[in-house]
Amino acid sequence: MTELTKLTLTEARDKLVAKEFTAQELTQAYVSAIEAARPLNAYVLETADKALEMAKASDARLQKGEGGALEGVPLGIKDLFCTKDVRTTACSHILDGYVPAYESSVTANLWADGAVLLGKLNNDEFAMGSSNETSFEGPAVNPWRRKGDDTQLVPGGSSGGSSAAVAAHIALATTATDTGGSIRQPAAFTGTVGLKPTYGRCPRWGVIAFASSLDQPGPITRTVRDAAVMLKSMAGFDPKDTTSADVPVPDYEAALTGDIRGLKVGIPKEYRVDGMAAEIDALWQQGIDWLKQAGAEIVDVSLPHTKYALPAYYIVAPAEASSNLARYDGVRYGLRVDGDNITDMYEKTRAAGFGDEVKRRVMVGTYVLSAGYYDAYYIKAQKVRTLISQDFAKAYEKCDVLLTPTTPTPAFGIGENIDDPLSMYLNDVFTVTANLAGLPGISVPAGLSANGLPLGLQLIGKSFDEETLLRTAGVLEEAAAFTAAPEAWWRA
Amino acid sequence: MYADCRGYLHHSGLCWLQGSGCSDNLRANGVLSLRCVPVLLKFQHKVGPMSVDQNTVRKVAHLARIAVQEDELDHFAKEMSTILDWVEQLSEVDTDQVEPMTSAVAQNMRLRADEATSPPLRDEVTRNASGSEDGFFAVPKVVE
Repeated sequence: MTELTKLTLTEARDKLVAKEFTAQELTQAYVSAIEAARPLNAYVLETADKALEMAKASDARLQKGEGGALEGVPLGIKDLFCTKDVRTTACSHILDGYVPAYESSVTANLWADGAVLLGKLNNDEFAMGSSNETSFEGPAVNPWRRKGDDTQLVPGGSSGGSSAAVAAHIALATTATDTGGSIRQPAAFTGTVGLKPTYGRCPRWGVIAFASSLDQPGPITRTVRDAAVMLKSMAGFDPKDTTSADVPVPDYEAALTGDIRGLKVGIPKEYRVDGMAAEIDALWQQGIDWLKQAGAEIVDVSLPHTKYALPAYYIVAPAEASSNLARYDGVRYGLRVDGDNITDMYEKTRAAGFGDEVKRRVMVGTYVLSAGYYDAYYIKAQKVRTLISQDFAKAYEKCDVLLTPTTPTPAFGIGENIDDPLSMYLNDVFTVTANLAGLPGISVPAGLSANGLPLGLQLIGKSFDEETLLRTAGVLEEAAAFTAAPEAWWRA
Repeated sequence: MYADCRGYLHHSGLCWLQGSGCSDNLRANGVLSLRCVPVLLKFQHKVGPMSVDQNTVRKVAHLARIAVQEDELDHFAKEMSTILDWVEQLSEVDTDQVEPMTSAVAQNMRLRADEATSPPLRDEVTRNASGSEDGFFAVPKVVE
């Protein structure tokens, strides 16, 4: 790691403005770091030439004092975001060679603020997974390893390339998406900060759709302040997305006052699952103590339908996925496998183009939406979702923000859970509720497990109250003073 | 008694993530281990007959337009059954007086003027097609 890649986003931003170094120097440092980190398989496409070209333009603007909020800041972009004239495949075989003719709204916002594209990042195929192992490009690898053990670990998923890249300092920050925990769980597994905004806060236009009522873009960063800066640039009303919220975007960085005196922090008792790993429980208690010491008031709350969140999710998400993925038919983009007739062509294309997890979910989704089952599964799940949302509304009558663990375990080994869909799904037990209710959530690195792996604490906020969420996260971050870093074993 | 157990049931009957310290076999020889009964009650995990058979997989695969080979049917039937049996626990929630959620965030559907908002993009749109001719998508013959 060079001195330049050590900096946080906000530090680099300020030094660029102060002309301590140029955007081209910073970008070149990242381009070299990316080349040296290929064993992590974090990037599925490196765009060094484009990055240096963008950095040159940034330098010209900085020179004239006309830089945007992210002028000259090099970012990695999850391969789920369409990038104009830059290959985008959602890490699926079925989108082989797809080159979008347009830019996603979120990335367009970032480029408008002066950010630089380093490349496209690995993810689970169509964001379906919790380990990045379902990617057609092969798994991304966690920069972290267990103490005294060189087993390769997963960086979480689906945004595994995004979390690995931030942890390994091969991007200043990254974009990610979260449908059931895909920003927060990878952040927890890699000692990074992952922010899932309120549903509708960041536009979904140009983000390859998985489950449209749950998907939400957000950043993965090294600090809470960096997350605040990224969110400000990513967010905003977009008339092209019918669910985009037409509400003002506040200055999130200004919300980081460090003052949470009198704030009411709810502790949902249903998240204290019987026999939860002692170190997770201890970390949670530590988090409670930190916030209490900072002047917050701790309130016990109940979210009685928590245990039904995952089963409801595994009806809603596959159902919406089966509908969204109907467009991959071998006609308009990507892979085509010829057949005897058009139906045969569709079926062969989709059999060859989708991986096992995607097929499983599309088929489960097709089943629960099929004639005679729709009410029993999909409508039932949407009713349970209403109850889960009401649980939160009741809890927020007594508190401002909730504190929970992010994941039930630290990162696991590549291959350990891949043959067992249900075990894999249970990774999202603490994160999926926020997606079902559309609420913002953030994971903050808070400590290390006994075997030396990062653990995260999650805060869940009120709808469109990312300011309180970030302010509390900032206090948690300062108290935890998480400075551990993985050894750079990947550098030859 | 089940202090090491994480409280999550694995569909095979074994506790989830045994590697992290739990070796509970909840259905050893078809008999429930007593110490895991509280967990079982808590999560109401149902271990029933397979809900999806091979014929259903064949039908669903065709509806989803995914070719599935005969020798894959059993595998898909087992996996789909595992997932569908597990989500079955929602049936214990009383939802008689509950409206289904239609939007994660309360908002009204916006309308816009019905007018063209972008220039013609025919070439860009067909650029990624596996087959295109004269600005059209090309597919195998559909009519006889």
